[in-house]
Amino acid sequence: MSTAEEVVSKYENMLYRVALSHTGIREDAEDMVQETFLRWLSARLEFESEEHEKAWLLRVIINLCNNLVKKRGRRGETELLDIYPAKTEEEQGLIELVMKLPPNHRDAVYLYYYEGYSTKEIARIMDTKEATVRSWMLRGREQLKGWLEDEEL
Amino acid sequence: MKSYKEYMDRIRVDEAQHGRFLEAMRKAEAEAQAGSKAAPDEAAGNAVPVLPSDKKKRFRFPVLKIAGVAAAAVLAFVLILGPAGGKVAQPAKEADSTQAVTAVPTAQKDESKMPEANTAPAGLTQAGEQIDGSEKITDEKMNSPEQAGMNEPSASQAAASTKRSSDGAPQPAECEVEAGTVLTLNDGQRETVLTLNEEEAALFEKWILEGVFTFTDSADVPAVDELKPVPTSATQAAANPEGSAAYTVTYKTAVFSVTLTVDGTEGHYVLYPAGMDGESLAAFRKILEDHGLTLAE
Repeated sequence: MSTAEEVVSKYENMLYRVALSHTGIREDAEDMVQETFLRWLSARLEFESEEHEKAWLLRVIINLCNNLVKKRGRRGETELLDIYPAKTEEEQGLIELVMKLPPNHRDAVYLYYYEGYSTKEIARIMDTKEATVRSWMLRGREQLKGWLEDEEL
Repeated sequence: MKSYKEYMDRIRVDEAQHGRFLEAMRKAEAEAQAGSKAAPDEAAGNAVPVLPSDKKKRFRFPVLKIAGVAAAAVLAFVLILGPAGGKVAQPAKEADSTQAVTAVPTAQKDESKMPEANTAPAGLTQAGEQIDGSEKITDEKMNSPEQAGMNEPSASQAAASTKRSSDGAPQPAECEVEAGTVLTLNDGQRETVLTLNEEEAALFEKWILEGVFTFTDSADVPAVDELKPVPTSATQAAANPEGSAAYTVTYKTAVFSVTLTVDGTEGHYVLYPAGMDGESLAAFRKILEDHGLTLAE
């Protein structure tokens, strides 16, 4: 089993990105990450692999973020770019588009394009059907058309 | 997507925050260890195995407010609680705040103003210890309704519910479960925490009022020995070979511990699922799933 320090070092950036894309607020994102780690610590689950552990953490933080957003109402959609400014116009345009996607679509885009998960794996992490994930990806892709047209689902 | 990846690469936790995460984990671990030191005393005199020091957990519990209970009902309830509460639960004002996870701000920090329970109730703690030290549950057991205890409520739970009824303790006429309320789920194998969102809180509120969940003071927590024969499917993160975050529990063996304030008096209680129709069960399943848990079929 991983130690707390290993888990924090290994997954904090991934969880932070997911949380920040949900909340758009740095402090909220940091709180969500911390809460996820504390749940990992308290649950003391036995994971069969690192991937399993990673998937569990992703699912927990997505659920926590969804709960937070439901509770507080979404805000700060564009704050991500205030916190981490884009370096180019192209980047600015792309991130603005991504941040306009619904949270589920955005998570799917992140998990697919950045983390390299398959739609099947994303479906498991997000507790939904693979077809739903594909649908999100397609809709996201339509919205991001021009940026993602060279990518395959 | 190069731009996207490059941008995402730049989103990183800074060093100071990294340190805070580690500090929070260290504190939580220290609290867990501090809690485990108290376990031998609590468990003295019974056959409950003591957890390794890192297995014991402490959580904070926002208050589940119950107000407006009919006067006669409140009187009866408080009379019953009085002696039992002294045995098993400390008022929040006596809690040792240094032993609470809330020492480091978390997402639920806005609830930190709520009183905290100082410890889990003795019965629940003992159950948790027994459970964490028990044998690993096989997939077959997890998938078997009989083995999972889905067909029949455990004798201990039945006893607990019956005892409550025979006590004549009333269900509250009114109760308010707030979003952000933290329940500790003890499903017979482990403990985990659920933070209820608004919708979930409303469901629990409804269930408590309808008696779907009966609640009992911790003196009514079944003895650990009574729990032992109950073959729960519960909790095996590694059970799913395909990497799902699934974590299976059975509602018949699930108990939720919460801190309630009744007429201004705080006590620690355990909620038992007493009986669920299909709709409630589906909603309960959804809540668990939203928290990364799976309810056994």
